[in-house]
Amino acid sequence: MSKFLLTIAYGLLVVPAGLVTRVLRDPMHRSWSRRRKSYWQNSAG
Amino acid sequence: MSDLVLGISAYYHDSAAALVCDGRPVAAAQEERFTRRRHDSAFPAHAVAYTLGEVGATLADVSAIAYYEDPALKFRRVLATYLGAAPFGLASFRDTLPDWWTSKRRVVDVIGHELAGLDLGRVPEISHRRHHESHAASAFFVSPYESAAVLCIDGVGEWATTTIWHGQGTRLKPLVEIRFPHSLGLLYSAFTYFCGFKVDSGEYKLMGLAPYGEPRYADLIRERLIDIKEDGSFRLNMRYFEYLRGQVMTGRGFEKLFGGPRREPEAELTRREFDLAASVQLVTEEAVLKLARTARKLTGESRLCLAGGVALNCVANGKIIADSIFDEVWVQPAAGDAGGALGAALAVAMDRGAGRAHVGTGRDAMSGALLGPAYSDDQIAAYLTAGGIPYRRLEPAALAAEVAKAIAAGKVVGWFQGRMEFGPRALGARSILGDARDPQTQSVMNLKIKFRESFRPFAPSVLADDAKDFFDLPQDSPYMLVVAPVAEAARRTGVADSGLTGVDLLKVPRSVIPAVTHVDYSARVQTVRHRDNPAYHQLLLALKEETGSSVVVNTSFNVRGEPIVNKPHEAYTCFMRTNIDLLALGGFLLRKSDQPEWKEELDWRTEVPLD
Repeated sequence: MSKFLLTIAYGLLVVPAGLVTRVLRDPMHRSWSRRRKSYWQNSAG
Repeated sequence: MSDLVLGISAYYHDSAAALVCDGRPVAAAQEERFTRRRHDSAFPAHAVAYTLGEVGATLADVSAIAYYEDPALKFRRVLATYLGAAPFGLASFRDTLPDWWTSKRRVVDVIGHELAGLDLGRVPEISHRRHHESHAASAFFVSPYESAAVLCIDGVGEWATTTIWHGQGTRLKPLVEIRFPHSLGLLYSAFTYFCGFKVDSGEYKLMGLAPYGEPRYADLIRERLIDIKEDGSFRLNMRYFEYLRGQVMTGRGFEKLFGGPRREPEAELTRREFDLAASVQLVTEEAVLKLARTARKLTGESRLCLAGGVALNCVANGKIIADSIFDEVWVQPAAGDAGGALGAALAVAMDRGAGRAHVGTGRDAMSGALLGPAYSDDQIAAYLTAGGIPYRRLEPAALAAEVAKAIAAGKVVGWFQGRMEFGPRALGARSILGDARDPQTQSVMNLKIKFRESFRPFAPSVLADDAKDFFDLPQDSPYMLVVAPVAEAARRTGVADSGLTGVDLLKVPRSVIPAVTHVDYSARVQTVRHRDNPAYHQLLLALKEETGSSVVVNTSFNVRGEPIVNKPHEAYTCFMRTNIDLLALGGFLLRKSDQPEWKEELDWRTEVPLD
């Protein structure tokens, strides 16, 4: 895969998809909440 | 018929192979020891061949092969990271996607091809386990405990970065987890990077640097970088970290927060690096203690098993023990990703019905972590004779006595005996030894033998029965993964630092064993029992007879940047390149003064990359 094609793919696919995804729900769960007592997530196994 | 399971970790760092027979590790080694490339991430072809050869097996004799993480899940995390970082992750996307697209997401197939290429017989079925399951299995299934809480903390595997498990018998139940990008390991690595050390390699240097500093940045870290809840769960503030974008760990946000750009590698260490190290170490310890308390609360267990790269933070491990959160703590000696190979194999073996025969004996199943290659005296004699290398052959007791005498006289000894250690620590099989009582030992070994930074302290080995005389250590530490305070009785009174600062503090003798006493009166202790390493135990007994103390400086048999030696010729080369005085190579004793002149065409120090 050439760097040029990857750059195009990033601009046309990843950036729009990333921006839309983050409007709906941040996949990285970056927000802090001082009110939350815990950040643990149950392990699905 | 024995059931053999082969575990493999590869393609990130510290590739390794481990062979488990009926649920018990029989051979394990990191690939770096064979290829001589530190932290080698390549397919562990040599390690696989070694583990099979150790038991005289071929791949056709192996029931199953286990890879240490789930490549498809990891790929999904990588894709999610691209989305999470957009529009700022182009460089990372361009650099890493091709590898993921072509091979990394199909790593199980790649491993099948690699194994087939070894021509070691028919390749059995290959499965994968999750990264943290491999860590948890490596910690619990070989531990001495019938049941225990299991805490795994590392950088990242697939999604999980911190997990708590409940181990009971041959089962591990996952309870809770913290997911990427929130990672205690990556927080520590970010500071490692910012202080000018290599990520995934220099974290232990940062830990060693911490006692020189004051934790004056700890509040800032708690306020801006990490939100730690009372139950130990946490989130990082990703505005200050760059690793989502892929190229580096930290950027301008970090620089603004901590007063300027990162330290360049090999540049002089300043007060800032000392204090940053002390600060992140303190915050890490606080988080780890809270995590341990939660592990206890969730499982109700009185014993804890630890694994994951952060479990190599022996200062934090020592704090867990000192805090008496658990009655006993057991740390997997190969706690990093190399140990994942073992854990994956153990997890598959348990699913196949293996038992844990060692439980109830009071011992773990790690054989003292001596799971690597050994070289017989016949093999060593053939090497020495072929090379015209002068030596004396001695019986084990005479060898121990002579080496002990030499150490007592201030000599530095290369100690190459039996099977090589699995994991990052030298535990008395591939070690360089020196006199712990001599204040000069530390600087001599750092600068003339290891050629490494002068701030780094050395660690002691001690007979387990004598440990309480020198250290406040409430349990054994067979794998040198616990830091403990030097006992009051062993400390010198009236120690004055006389205005010294920074690395100069290490020159002040603070105890009767100054070569292994850090500036905060701590020591990274290895306790030695006969059952784990008879030859090393015999040496420490001889040393005690000679000096009244069984404490010895034990550092890995290598120079800075080089993997620990594996073979006799590597030990001899290291012996001749450095100021090591004697080499105990199996049953043979070699004196530097008897050796022919050592000649190399090139300066070897330019060939070994700095770590």
